[in-house]
Amino acid sequence: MGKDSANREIIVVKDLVKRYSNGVIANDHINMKIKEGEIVGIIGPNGAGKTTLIKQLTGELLPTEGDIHIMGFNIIEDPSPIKSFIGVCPQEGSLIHYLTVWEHIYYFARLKGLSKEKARKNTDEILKMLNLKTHRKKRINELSGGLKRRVFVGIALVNEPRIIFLDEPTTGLDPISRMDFWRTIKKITMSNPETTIIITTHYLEELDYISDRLIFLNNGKIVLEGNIEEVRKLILDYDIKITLSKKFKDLVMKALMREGVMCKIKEERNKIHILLSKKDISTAISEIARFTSDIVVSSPTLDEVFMGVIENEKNNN
Amino acid sequence: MKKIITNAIIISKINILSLRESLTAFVIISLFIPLGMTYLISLASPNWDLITKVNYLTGMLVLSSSLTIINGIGQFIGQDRLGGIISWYRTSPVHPLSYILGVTSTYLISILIECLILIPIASILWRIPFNIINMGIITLIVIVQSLALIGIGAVIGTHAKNIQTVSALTNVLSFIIAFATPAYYSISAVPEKFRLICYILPTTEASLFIKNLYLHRVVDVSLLIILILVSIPYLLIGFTGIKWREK
Repeated sequence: MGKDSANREIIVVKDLVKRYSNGVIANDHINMKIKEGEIVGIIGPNGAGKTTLIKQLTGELLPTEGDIHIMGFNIIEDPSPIKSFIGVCPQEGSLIHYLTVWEHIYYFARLKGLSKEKARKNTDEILKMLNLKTHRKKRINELSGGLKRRVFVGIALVNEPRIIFLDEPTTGLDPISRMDFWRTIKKITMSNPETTIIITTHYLEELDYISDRLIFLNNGKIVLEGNIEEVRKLILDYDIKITLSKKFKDLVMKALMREGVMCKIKEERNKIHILLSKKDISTAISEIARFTSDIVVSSPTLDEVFMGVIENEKNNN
Repeated sequence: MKKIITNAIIISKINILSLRESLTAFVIISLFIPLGMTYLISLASPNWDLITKVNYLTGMLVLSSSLTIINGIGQFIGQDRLGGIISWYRTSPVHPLSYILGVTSTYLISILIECLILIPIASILWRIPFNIINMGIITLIVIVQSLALIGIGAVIGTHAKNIQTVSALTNVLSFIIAFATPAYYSISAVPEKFRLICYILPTTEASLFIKNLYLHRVVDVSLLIILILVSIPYLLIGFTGIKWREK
């Protein structure tokens, strides 16, 4: 994040409500502030209101109530001033099947206001960055799903946007293409640290890889937000996970209790996961090492955090 | 305004590039079939009178433009809307008017080409008196009525729930328009209570105008004004259906 811009709020959402004509409340009094250069992951189960939120932020959908200011512009009154500064990779949608990869990105660069020369230059650069150079002359209908998704991103990035919205960008991609995709996004964030990125995804481990901050949406409401470490700690009350064979469960439990180590045990087939706080890790490892050296130490996954948030929500209700 | 026009030209270029894939079909539908029909009629009609020949020429222009435009615009907007392509335009700094102008101009260009080829060839083959000013006036009339047909295609494209409905409606409507228009027959042959239906079709005013021009050498300005007045609501209703921001 750029030093000067570190505290500049680029997106401010106040009391945002979206009620559809069929009565469904997709967003229920959402308040959030996103700083310039932040990478924010918005997660939640299906129907949580993530795409509705993105569509309102990009000006495609009119909110029922509330305010949205982006770069100081009230986009509910008029979203047009921000459109030159944003890049949107929608969740669904098609590309224009008869255009070539190069043409698709180039013409949208032109529509985003770039001069012919700049559009050509940026299109060539984007193709290089997204490893699409060898496919530049291929028509869209000749591309695989993964390559099409890269073209989506190419269009979103070609105008060097200050804010990028990625709505479930890796849905339908195989694991290798997904990894490739996030590597590309990471590259962009490294080269343009002032670019703000808002991502929604179902693959939580991807957010772990890229996000600065998470916003959990459930039933249209923000149920939790914070940076990944804070969220893990807040929800799970532990930050380290040690995985070992189930046959050592009783021995290890006795040893840890004797040493006063507070932990939780989760069983899974022939393994156990010992969940504990960072401060107890050295004691725990030295005790476990007396029985086995075949252990795996890791952080809890975001999936576990996500399930924790949903469980907490259920309990609160 | 300059930006609106620039973007309209870019969108029009994008649309024209679709011809690369369907150039053969476009040439067959827009030129070969009408020209083939023109040739066949010329073989069958050496003894036809001028009225019959002019009726056929008028019918061919009306039928051809209604098929090309209603189907083309309906499918095009329907696919953009239902397939999500419109989202790319909506999230770019593109004014809705640019999109409308871009889409419209593509079809108007194709109609222009069709008129400029069909009218002189039909006139020569059928031995209908031809002059370049008449051709210009008829082309203008066909383009004005095409604006209304664009509006009708746009209404279907913007409101149909799926692409199959778009196809069904555009096919049915283009045939209704082609046959309810008194092109091949005289308006006086239509029972009086049905005439209003004919008059609300822009193709009727265009047909009457073309026939008057050929048969009576009259440029009927009142028909032109009625045609413009009939076309504007169709166009407005059609394009107000294009939502740049959903509610």
